[in-house]
Amino acid sequence: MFKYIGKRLLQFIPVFIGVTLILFVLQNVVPGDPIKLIAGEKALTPAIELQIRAANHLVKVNDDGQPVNAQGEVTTELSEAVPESMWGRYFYYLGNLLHGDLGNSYVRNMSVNDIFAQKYPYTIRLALCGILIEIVVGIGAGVISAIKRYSFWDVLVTLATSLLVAMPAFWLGMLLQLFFGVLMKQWTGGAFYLPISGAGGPNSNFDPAMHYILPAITLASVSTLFFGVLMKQWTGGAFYLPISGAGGPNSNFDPAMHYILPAITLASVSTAYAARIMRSQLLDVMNSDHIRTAIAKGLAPRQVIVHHALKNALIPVVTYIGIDFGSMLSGAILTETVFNWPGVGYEVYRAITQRDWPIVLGGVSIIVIVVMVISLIVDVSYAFLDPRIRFGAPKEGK
Amino acid sequence: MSQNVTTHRPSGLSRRAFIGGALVTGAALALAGCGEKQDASTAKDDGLSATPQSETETPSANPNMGPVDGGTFNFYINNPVSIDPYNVQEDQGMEVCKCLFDALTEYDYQNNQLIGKAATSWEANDDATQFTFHLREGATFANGDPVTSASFVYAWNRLCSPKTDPANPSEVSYHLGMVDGYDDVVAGTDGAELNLECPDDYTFVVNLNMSYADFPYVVSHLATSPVPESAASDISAFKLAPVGNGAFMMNGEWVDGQYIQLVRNENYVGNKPHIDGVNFNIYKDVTTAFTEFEAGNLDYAQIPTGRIQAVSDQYGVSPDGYTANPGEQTLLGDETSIYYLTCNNTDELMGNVHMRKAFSYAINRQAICDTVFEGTRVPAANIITPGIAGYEEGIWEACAYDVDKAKEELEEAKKELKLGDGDITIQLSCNSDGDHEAIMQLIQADLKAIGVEASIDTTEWAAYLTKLQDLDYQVGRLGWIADYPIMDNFLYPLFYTGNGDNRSGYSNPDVDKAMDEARAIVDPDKRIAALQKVNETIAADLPVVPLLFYRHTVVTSNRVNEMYSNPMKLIDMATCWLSA
Repeated sequence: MFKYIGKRLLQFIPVFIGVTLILFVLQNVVPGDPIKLIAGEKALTPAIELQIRAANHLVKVNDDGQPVNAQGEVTTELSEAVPESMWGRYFYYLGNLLHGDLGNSYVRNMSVNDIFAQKYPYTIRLALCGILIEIVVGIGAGVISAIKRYSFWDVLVTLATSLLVAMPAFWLGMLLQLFFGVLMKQWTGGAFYLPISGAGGPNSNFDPAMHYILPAITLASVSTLFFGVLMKQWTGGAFYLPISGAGGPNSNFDPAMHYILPAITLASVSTAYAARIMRSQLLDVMNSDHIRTAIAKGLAPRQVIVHHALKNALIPVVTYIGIDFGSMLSGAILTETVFNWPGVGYEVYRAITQRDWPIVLGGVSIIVIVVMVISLIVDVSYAFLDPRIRFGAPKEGK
Repeated sequence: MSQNVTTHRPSGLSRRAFIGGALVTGAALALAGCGEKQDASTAKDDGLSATPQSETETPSANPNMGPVDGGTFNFYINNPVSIDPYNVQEDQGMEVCKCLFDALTEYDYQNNQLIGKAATSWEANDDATQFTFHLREGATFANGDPVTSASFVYAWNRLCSPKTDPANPSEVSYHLGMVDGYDDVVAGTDGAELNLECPDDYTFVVNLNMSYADFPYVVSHLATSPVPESAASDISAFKLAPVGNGAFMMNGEWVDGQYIQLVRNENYVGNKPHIDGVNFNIYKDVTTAFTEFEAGNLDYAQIPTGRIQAVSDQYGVSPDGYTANPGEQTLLGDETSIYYLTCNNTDELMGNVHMRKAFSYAINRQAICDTVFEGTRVPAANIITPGIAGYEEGIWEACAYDVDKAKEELEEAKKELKLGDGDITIQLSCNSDGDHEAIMQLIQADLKAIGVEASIDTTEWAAYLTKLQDLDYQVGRLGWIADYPIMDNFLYPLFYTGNGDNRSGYSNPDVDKAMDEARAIVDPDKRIAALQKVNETIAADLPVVPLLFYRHTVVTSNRVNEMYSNPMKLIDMATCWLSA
């Protein structure tokens, strides 16, 4: 087992170098000069542009950090400065990384370390809340609706999951805000309501913990009830629909008009998809041999479910949770935006659109490591769930 | 650095915040759509209940009651780029900075004059190359340090020198680009300093490297504010909690992406604010902030796209467009920013003045304002915006909507370019986020009406900007916001040959010469007259096509009184007050 973990950890290195290298190549391919973008529509004066390029090692500099010309002499002319090569920048980045330094944001005038040190705790806590709801409510609802087939609870879970699968996260979030933040406050005369956005702080009337409630529910809801469907089919894992891709940037007319078609399209496809697969998988699982055998053996229903059905079903579940947790930890742009959550998702997204490469690289570096660690944990956990899976040297036949 | 204008930018969004918002915008627009439906239904449901909204419909009960002291103003902003004068640039950061700092001067839009803030008076020498500012005596920073001429010398060298914060050079030191010695300081030359003099603690003399009679307007920019050396020398701390000479001071640090809290500065020498403090609540999304506003958690918010009319009806409209009072809470006043089409003057087709005129006459600007912006933009017929001294309405004649004239000019262009019918196709370029494409589609239809086929080329923001910089386009869109409210700040950057912001490739030696000469005219009336003539010459050349002027689209809560938001969207938080 330890040998296996060690081997996996060693694999991290080429994966990490591969991912960051791809990003560096992309930097050169994607149009748009990040330093020109700093000023936006307004141009930087050449002297200031040269300073910023030198500070970010985008032009060749001497040991004092001053820009140099082709002859290696210090220059004050932008036109004489020599652009740093992609490899030069990559080794500069790796060198800094070995010292734990992710560099400096082009746009934010802050170090990338400081930015992520501020944002990551919020993302991690929110992801934990979300995954907790996903595990408890998702597994719970799935188990209940599977064993109480065709009951009121089964129908409720099926309906609710279909509805929530179809609902874009940001829209649900917005409804929750309206209901719990605005209407509830009015109806109860301010006695009960939830914070609409933000993560708390001195301006908030709420305990910081309260600020996690709505974002956590939203983050969890789509995957949670999805997850109910997944559990119900016992096999699943095939249900990864791109829910959060809804909402196009090209709004031409009235925003309300713009909303109608994508909403209907999205809802019909995912609802039908989920409903059909749910039904066929449900029938399939209920007819599987090992469940029938277990029941025929005269085992108590609880034993059948816990020892035979649930444990078998947990492998795709753990895989799904792992993937989902990884994606939650890389931030949730829409949820963060709608709920004004100070997490990393929006930060990285903003950085991509502004070509703020140090933040993109820093964010991706962290996310790659997080995802690799989580997938390792998931893989190792298989061994505990299913005795047939063993890692390391094969023991059979010896 | 002034913020950029793009149409879909709800004007409260900083350029950085909104550029990064293609996906967010999608969400916001969809949300705005749902919001409309909810608004209609909740308005009915709650018509009789005592909600914050319904209260706002009635003007304050006792209008004779004078200002009340106390209360904390909850203000919506996006995450600022900087609140330290060292790098302050867009309206979000400027708003905070304005509370914390007094620059030498300030433009009083209500009386159309430049007034003293940290300075009480100033004078120029004969050729406008040297300016002497007399500082207000007895002023201190929030930490008790006196504000003297040395504070300005320190602050200005700090602004320009790359040694101040080597990893993050200031992007806005260009404001002082005309101060003698700037080039050496900004290059980081050892021992270089700006050519500034301090004959005594309260006299501050600035030597310029050129004639620039508008210089007192430049030093109204908050980037030129004084800073105390004792505090500012630690830049990483100062960035998050600047110490200034303004009416308010920081209460703790700026918490990135969340909030900035200010309280009244008891050491302030000017008029003391009525309010106890300002909470700047930082949001990513204008719709979320507006939901907070509706829930009664914000006193100032940006109105989301598509809700202007509903908000105006519900909260009442400010008569002058700039001053908010209970029952007059929607501000829709003109801003000093413009949305225009830039023509590539080096292109064979768009390099022809008749072609550009045909293009301009053909556009129905009012239709764009009405269909895309609910009337929150106004047709522009000048590159200078209203509110700027010297603005003349309609002086760019080719901005009138006149299909017949458009056709005449088109014939003229065809003759000069030796083109037949159907030979003319134009590519309209814009970036993909926001309403730009909607505008281009309307223009496309307008052009078709005069027999010109146009295609729309939409690219992502970063790629689009590169295209403009490389003059790799025919017609594109751009925006401009003035740094200082003077004509020079529009004409010089946009039309002077070779200037970085001159994206049309326009070059007219007569215009260049006239602008240089105007900068040396000390008499303000004569200077404005000279610049008006320059503007007329440029209007005749029509290198770019003015399209729309921006307007405020903000709303305040019903407890806000006498809050004046100037055409640059900056608010003097010291004069407003909150009902108890």
